[in-house]
Amino acid sequence: MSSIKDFLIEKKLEFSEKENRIIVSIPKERIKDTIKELWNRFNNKMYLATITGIDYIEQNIFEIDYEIWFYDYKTLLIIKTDIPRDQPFLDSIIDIIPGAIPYEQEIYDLLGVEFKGNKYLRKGFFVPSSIINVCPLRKDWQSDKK
Amino acid sequence: MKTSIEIPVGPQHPALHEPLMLKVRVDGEHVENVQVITGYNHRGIEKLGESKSFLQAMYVFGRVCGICNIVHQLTYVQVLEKIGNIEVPPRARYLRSLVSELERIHSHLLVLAVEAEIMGFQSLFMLIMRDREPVMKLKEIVTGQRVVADFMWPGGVKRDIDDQKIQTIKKTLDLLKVRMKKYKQVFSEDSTVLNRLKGVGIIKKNEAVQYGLVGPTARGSGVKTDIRKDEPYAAFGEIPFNLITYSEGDSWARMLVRIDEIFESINIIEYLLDHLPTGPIAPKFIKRRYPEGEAISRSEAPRGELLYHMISKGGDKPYRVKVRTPSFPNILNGSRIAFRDVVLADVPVIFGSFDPCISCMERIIVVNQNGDERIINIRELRK
Repeated sequence: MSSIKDFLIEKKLEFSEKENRIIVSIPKERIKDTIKELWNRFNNKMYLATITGIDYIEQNIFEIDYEIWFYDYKTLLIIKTDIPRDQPFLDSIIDIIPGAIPYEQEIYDLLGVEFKGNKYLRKGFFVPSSIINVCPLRKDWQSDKK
Repeated sequence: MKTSIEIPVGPQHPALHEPLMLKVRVDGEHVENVQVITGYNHRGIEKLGESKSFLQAMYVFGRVCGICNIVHQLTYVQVLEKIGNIEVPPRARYLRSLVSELERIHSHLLVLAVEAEIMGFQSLFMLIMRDREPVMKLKEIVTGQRVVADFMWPGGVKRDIDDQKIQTIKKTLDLLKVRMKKYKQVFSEDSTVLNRLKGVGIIKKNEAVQYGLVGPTARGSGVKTDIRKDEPYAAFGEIPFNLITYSEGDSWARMLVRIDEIFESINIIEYLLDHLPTGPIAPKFIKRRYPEGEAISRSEAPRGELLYHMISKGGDKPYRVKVRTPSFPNILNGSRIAFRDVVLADVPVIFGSFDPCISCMERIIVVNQNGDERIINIRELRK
């Protein structure tokens, strides 16, 4: 766990701890570089558990959480970043961690966040092609309209 | 002249029992590329969970998957317990581990049977399914339900067991242990099994890490990952058991991991029953409202790491529940790397060795037809 903290201190990133979780917030411009350096430092000792997309409509942001598990340190690192709702773009990390492909596809399809550099993104991946113009997981879209 | 053709396998196909399509591009018998087509079975569960109260959502998430419903509900209540700071009594923790392991045994037996059927080994399929049924019966004895159990409460479990039930479980598992030794021998020595599985669909260890594979699929490639060991939940921190890994990385290794895990699960259940603490199994009052907070809970489902990420803004409804099921990386990422240097007949065998669970993988579908927005079920979708 201390090596992960050393890395974050080295990168001058503020983090908080809770049990075996380390939570760090990073501006969206630095996400790709940070994950790249993290991957190079802890190669084959970490894997991307998932990417979660959350719509905070009141703050007018989407929060994207990268959840990374470290096998040896038994620690879950949660990297949080915010992007504005009206500009839902973020750099893709699939050239660093290829396992991120379906997570980015899912967020693109359901939340409408575009990951620049991911050529596999397509609408209709999880939802049928007849509803390609809506993002079901956005809070301003309700499924119970009759 | 090199010509290749595309063969669709699925969405309804004898080799795939669930709605998913594999677009297989072949040159003769040689497979060049496999593309996974999803989206046939989305049910809108994450979105649905946001519109239900915390307790109603517990029943919704218990129905993400029919096979591993216990672990889904367990992980959901664990995330609630983290947000609501709820202590779970020791007996309830042991009972949670007990039903989780019963579920792991019948889930692993199911995939062993299905894989045998895909290989063309019908008698093995019949025999394993025969031995799976008593385990389903045990699940019914403990939880009251054979399939969807609804066994969990936030802070405990719903039903207790007595000495008679303990004896029935022990007796049934003693017989299963004898049968499993026979099945392990078949999977280790039988020429049909070895010819179909050995060296087929190899995933290297570093690829399994890069592509974030989980559960028996990753352990078959030598990755030491098991949430029961890494981040113990329920009573797993107090139980001695072995982490099973195989280094071969082929379809055979993935099946052998599951066979060995059944032996481990039987030992875990015997230990749990011998050391079952006394005391209450649930709190006196079930909390219905939860404070503001965010929590992540992970558990080891039969297919691998299951992750629930919940955001609560207080009140009686969750703000967001993210579910990452083990089949999600295993099917979508595993399919990118496992189908190399294989022939068409190997495709269902390799796919079966991931223990694919489509209902786990696909949870969200909201369909807009003629301007009407509604959630539809799979029966309607098939029409």
